[in-house]
This record gives sequence, structure tokens and C-alpha cells, in this order.
Amino acid sequence: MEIEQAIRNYKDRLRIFLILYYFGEGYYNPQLPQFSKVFKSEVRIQKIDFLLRNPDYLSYELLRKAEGNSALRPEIMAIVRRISEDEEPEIRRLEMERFFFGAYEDIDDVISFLHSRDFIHFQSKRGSDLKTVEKQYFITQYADQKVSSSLGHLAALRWYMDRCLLIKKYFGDLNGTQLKVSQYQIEEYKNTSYGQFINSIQATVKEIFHNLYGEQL
Amino acid sequence: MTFDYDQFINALHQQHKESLSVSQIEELVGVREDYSIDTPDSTGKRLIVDQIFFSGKKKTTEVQPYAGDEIFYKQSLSSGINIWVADNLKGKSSIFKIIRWAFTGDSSLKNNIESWIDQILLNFSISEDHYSIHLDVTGSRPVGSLFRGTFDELSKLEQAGDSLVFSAKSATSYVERIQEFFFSEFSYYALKWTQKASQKDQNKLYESSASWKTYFYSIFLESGDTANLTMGDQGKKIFQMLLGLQYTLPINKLMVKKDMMVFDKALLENFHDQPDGADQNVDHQTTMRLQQVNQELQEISEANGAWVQIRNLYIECDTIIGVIRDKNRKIVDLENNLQKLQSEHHGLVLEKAHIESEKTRLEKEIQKAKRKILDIEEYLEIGIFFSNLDIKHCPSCDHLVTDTKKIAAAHEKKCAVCNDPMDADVEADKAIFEDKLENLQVVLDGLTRELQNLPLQDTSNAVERKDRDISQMMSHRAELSDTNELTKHLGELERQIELLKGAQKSDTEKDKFIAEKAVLEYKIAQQKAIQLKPVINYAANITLLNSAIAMLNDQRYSIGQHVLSSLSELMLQEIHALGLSSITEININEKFDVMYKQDGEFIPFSGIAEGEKLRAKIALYLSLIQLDIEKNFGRHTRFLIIDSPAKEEADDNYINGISTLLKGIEERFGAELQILIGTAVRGLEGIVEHEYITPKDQFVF
Repeated sequence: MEIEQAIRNYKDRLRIFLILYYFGEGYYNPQLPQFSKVFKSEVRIQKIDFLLRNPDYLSYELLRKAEGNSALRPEIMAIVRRISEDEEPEIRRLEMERFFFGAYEDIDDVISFLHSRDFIHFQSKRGSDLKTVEKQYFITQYADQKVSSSLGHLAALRWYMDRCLLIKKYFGDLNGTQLKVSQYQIEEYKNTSYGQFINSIQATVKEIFHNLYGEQL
Repeated sequence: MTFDYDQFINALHQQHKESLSVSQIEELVGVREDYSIDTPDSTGKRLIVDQIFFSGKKKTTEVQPYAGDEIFYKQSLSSGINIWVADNLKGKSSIFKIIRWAFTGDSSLKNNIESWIDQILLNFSISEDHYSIHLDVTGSRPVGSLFRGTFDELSKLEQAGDSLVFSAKSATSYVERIQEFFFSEFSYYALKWTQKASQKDQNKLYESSASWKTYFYSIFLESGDTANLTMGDQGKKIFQMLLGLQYTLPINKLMVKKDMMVFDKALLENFHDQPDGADQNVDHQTTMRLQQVNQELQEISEANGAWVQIRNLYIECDTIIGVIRDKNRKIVDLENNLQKLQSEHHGLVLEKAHIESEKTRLEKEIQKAKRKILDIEEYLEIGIFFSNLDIKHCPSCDHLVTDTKKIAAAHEKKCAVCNDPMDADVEADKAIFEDKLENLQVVLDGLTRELQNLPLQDTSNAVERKDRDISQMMSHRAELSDTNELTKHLGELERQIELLKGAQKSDTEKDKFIAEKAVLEYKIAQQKAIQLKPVINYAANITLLNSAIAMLNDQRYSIGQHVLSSLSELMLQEIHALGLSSITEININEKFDVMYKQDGEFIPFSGIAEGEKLRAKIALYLSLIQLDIEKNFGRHTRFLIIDSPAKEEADDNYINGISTLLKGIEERFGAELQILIGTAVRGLEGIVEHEYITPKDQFVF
């Protein structure tokens, strides 16, 4: 297996797992005591993953939030500046392709891997309207323990945890559809053709930042 | 034959007693001493040049190989024929002109020769008496001195002491003193003639006289002067002086007197032609008109005097033009510097672009390295996170994967799910990645250092500095280019000049007024003259003078006939010796016209063919000298300079004729005369003893 592919597989597995872990809700079912959390909707996974993989689009969404809420401007200014100074749009960006409903990447292998290691349990069923498919992802107690005991000691992976918490802080209350709609507002995202990678908007982010704060990013 | 002055007076009185008394006649015809001055008998003196020396440093405004050559030319000469043979334009004529300069004080050298001559020392003899002439022409005013004795070196002149005859501190003074000397030695005097004034507003008659320089034409036959038989414009005067026939002086004086009287009489007669009764009006009208003309001339003078103002305006124009030119020169220099700066700027801009491009590349490489480092770090840690996780369920069928199956698979190094072989050594893989990480860090450090070392800031600063310099220079250029004010001022000055020039009258207009003024003054002078009772009986006087001149001419011709006949015979002999056998007789009349009989007809010198004139002229001079030597008649100095005697004659007969003649003269008269000859004809080499040969293409000095 190519080393780059191996690295990519590892990153995908961790990232998807952490999305499920940090954005899942608490779950208690005496009949299923092995599960501690549940995450609903694959669309939501895809949209959160898009924000994780594209720091420039996250900055854009944060600046739009700051435009709408002046109380948030100082903290968002610091966040966006740090993202830029740490060269995240250049180093941490992982492109995603545009499919029918926006940015999408197949996560079946990742889910299979996590399921095979007993980190998650996956369930999909038709909705009451018999048209939609509802997907649910249960986080196991085992995974929960693993995170608590191991993850905190791994410095290189700290960034993922912090980023998930950042996204959760400002956008955790949005469902998949809401996140999708929001991302569709962005011209570059909307105008990307099917099957093409969605391009960077760091220049737009700099312009908005300058217009909002009167400073250069 | 002694002139009987009293008989002469009586004879005149007989003719004119009704109009003139004896005393009046005596007063008119002059003093009796004048009538015994002339004699055709030779003085017996001869002029001979013993040595010529001159020095200087050749200079020329063009680049010539001889520029700067120091010249010390010395040539001792002998009695008889002395011949220089050299190519044309190599200095022969200059030597002769230098001799003439020393003898007369008058230089006819070309400026490019005269300008570099410093010293001339000419040793000469008049019969047995030796003299030296020194001309120092180093200063602005030449100093000419005559010494008794021979001084063959300049340094010896310092001990000349009592030998000095005279020293003249100016050219004019030298001319006067040397003339006085030679006139005294050879019994020459100044024959005179009358001529009208050359100025248009002057109606006068002047008296001119022959000088030593004039008589020197009989000595120096220049190559360009073959058109006339005798020498210069006053040839007959020179001829008369050389022959020395009796009564030449009184005839000359009476003729001048007569010319003056004829002129005065004519002035008077013009006034007498005016109709009677018109005098008063003409007088007033003439006076008034003269006043008007004087007024016009005054105005013209004032307007033309504005030339000073015009000149000053031109000077100011020149100054402004100079300033504009200076500005233009500075603009050109500025443009050159600007071009240089712009070229440097361009270079710096390119360099900066290159550095920025390099910076971009390095930044990308750094980001790439950081990504790889990040990926490997995450991979290792994710590996750690996931490494102790055993597979629990088959991802495909979700069946449990038993421990037994897992142990067996591990033992066989196979996957417990798909049975494919597993990669070996996790620790070895980890070591490899850690190595890679280390290497990437080194690369990253290197790239970072390289980025920090890029001289982008320095180059940017240099570009900015150049920008500023260029901007300053362009601003300066704009200032210099602004010559509007100067151009405007120049235009105004030119307009002023045109105005002033327009006010000036042309020379033609001025001349018209001057001519009219001359006529008016003449009329007024006539009127004033006529108001005085005429005390001079011009008619009677002129008639008497004519009679006296006629009588003297007859007597001169009668007494001098034998001299003239001898001369004619000698001339014919020499002409035949020179190859002109077509001339069969030569006649000199009482007016000193020389007539040549050719083909049965008497023709003047001007009627002789061009190719034969030079020989006829040489024949005359040689004859004059022979007249002195053989017959003891005449006052020629027996010294002759002939420049290019073969100039116009191309045929062998002539060359042979000249050769034979010169040999003959050398044999017969070598001890009695000196002839200096300059020629380019190599055929004349070897015919006489004293020859100075210059090889082809070389200069004499």
C-alpha cells in the first residue's frame, strides 16, 4: 500500500471518528449499554468534515457570523488570524470533490474500519416517509474509554480535537441540511462543477477580514 | 652735352612772349639744376648678393610632416649665373622673395611662409663695398638694420658697433631708409605721375612717385609677371630711370605740373559753362540742397551707427543661445544618465521579481515540507491510537472474528479477515517514518534559512532608491526642457534687431547721397573759384609747358638716340639667341614704346605671342645689363633674379636656347653681373658652375 494512501486512510479514520465522537449526543439505552453516544445523518458528517478539511471556508463562516453579531467579532478576529498565521489553509487543507448535494467523500470504508474495531456501530433504516434513509452512528463505551485514556497524550492529534470543539461551539447546533445551505451560499462552492475539487477562498477571506476589521490578514 | 638753360628759356619766350614773361617762363619750367641731373652714363656700380641666410620654425594649421621643422637656410652665392633646380612649390620663389624683402623692406611672401621666418641675414656688395642687412621679424614690429661689412653669422652682429649704418624700428622706417641708401648708391630718384583720387566724394588729382620697391621690378622678374614688357604699372618710369637719358627729370616734373594745371583749368572751365544770370539761384539752390544731402547723410550715419546697439543685441542673443545650448547639452547628459539609471532600475526590478518568485517557491516548498511532517506525525500518532485495537467484527459480514482465528492468522502473518499476507515489522516501519521526519525537518530548516537569506528587502530598497533617483532626474529634465521664457526673450531681441536693421539705409542709398554731395561741393567750389579773379592764365601756362616738354622730349630723343639704338640692337641679338628669329627689328620711340617687327609689321610687346613674351622680356633685361657692361650706358644694378624662366615654354628649342644663352652670359659676363635663376626644368642642370640642385619631391629648405 502506498504510504500516502496509508496516511490518508489513517487521517480519514481519525477525523470521521472524532466528528462522530464530539458531535454525537449522549445515548442511554439499558438494552444497549455498550453505546455511549449517537450521531445522526451522514450529510452532517460530510458538512462538518468539509469545515474540518477547509480552514479557509471555516474562517469565512466565522467572519459571516461576526458580521451578524458584533459581540463575537473580537474572538473571531483572533481565531481567523491564528488560522491564517498557522498557514492552515495551505498546510491543513484537504480538498473535497463536489457531488450532487455539495462536498462529499465516501466514508463507507472508514465506517467499516471503525465498526470492525468496535469503536462505532452503524445502523441505517428508512424513515417514516419510506423515502429517506436515516443513518445512525453509535459510539461504544470502548471507544469512549480509548479517547479518554489515549488521545490526550498525542500532541499531533490535539489540533483535531480543538478544531472539532471550535466548530461545535459556533456551528454545533446546525443540522446537516442547515450546514449544507450555509455552504451553498459561497460562490466558489456553489459554482464548482460536479466531480471537481472545490477551490480555496482564502483571498475572499482576506478581503472580508479587511473590510470587517480594517486590517490585513 | 651741356644743356643751355638760357637758350631754352629764350626759345620758349620767343614762342610765348605775348602771354608770358621770361620770369613767368622760368618759374614754370623749374630750376636749371634739374636739367643736369640725368646722364645715361653708367655709375659703374653693380649689386651682388654674397650670401643669404634665414631661419625659423615651420608651422602649419594642417597636419603636415614638416610642421615644427627648424629651418636654418644658408647659401653662399657667386658672381655670374647661380641656378636653383628643384620641383615646383618647393621653396625656390620663397628664397627670392626673402632676398627682395631684405632689399626693399616689402614682403610678398605667402602668409604661411612669412609667419614662421624669424631672422634674415643678407650679405651683399655694391661693387667693392660690402654690406649686411639683418631683419629681425620675431616681434610684432620687424627691426631692420644695415651694416657696413660682411657678417655671415647672426652672433657676429652683436660686435657690429660702428659698422651700423642705420637701424629702423618699424617696417615703414626701414622702407624709407633702405630706399634712401639704394637711391643714393645707384643715383636713382623718384619719378612722379598724377592720378585721380579713388574716393567717390573726392574730385582731386594726386601726385604719386616711384619708389625703390617700384624700381626693384627691373631686378626681380617673377614668374607670374610676363603680361607686360616692363615692370608693374609704371613700367615706362622704370625704363626711363634705368636708361638715365638726359632731361628725364625736368620732363617728368613739367609733365606733372602740366597735369595739375590741366585739371585746375578744367575745374574752372566747367563753371564757366554755366549760363549767365543763373548764378545766384544755383548758388542758393545748391547750398540748400547740399544742406539737405548732409542732413540725409547724418541721419544715415546715426541709423547705421546703431550697429553698436545691434551688435550688443546680437551679443545678448548669442548669450541666450549659449544658455539654451548649455541646457540642451545638460539634457543630453541627463538623458544618458537617465537611460543608465532606467537600465539599472530594470535590472533591479528583474532581480526583485526573481527573488519574489524564489520566495514564493521556497514558501511553497516550506508548506509542502510542513504538510509532510504533519502527515507523518499524525500518521505515527494515529497509528499509536489505532495500533492496539484488535479487529472484532468482519467489516463485511459483521461476524465475530475469534481469538483463535486471530492467533492463527498472526502466526502465519496473514490477515484474520481476508487471509492476505501482512506487512512485517511495525517497529521497522516506525523507524523509517521517524527517519523521514528527521530528514524533512532538516529540509525544512534549510528552506527556512534560504528564505530568510533572500535579499528581498535590500533589493526592494534598491528599487525604491532608483525610483526616487529617476523621478528626481525626470523632474530636473522637465525644468531644463522648459526654455519657453528664453525662447520668448530671444524672439523679442530678434524683433528689435530687425527693427534697427530696417531703419538702416543700404550702402547704395548712402553712395547716392555721397555722389550727389560731391557734385554739389564741386559746383560750390567752382562758384567760389570763379568769384576770385583768376590770377593764373592756365591756357598760356599749359601751352608753354607743352612746348617745353615737346622741346625737351625731342632733345632727349635726339641725344639719347645712340643709347636707344644700342639697346635695340642688343635686344635683337638676345631675342634671336633665345630662338625668336621671327622678330627682325626692334625700335624704341621717343615715348619709350618698344616695337617689334614681325612679319614686316611693327607690333608692341602685347602683340607678341604668349609663348614668346617671356623670352622677349628676358632679352630686354639682359640687354639693359649688357648695355651697361659693354657700352657703359644705363643704371641697371647688373643684378637680376629670374623665377621660372622656362615656365611657359615647353619646347626643346627654347630650353636649348636658354641653356646656350646662360652659358654664353656666364662665359662673357660672369664676372660683371649676377643672375639668380630658379627653375623646375631638370634639363637646365649642369649648364653653369654654381648650381644648387634639390632632389625630386624634396624641399629646398
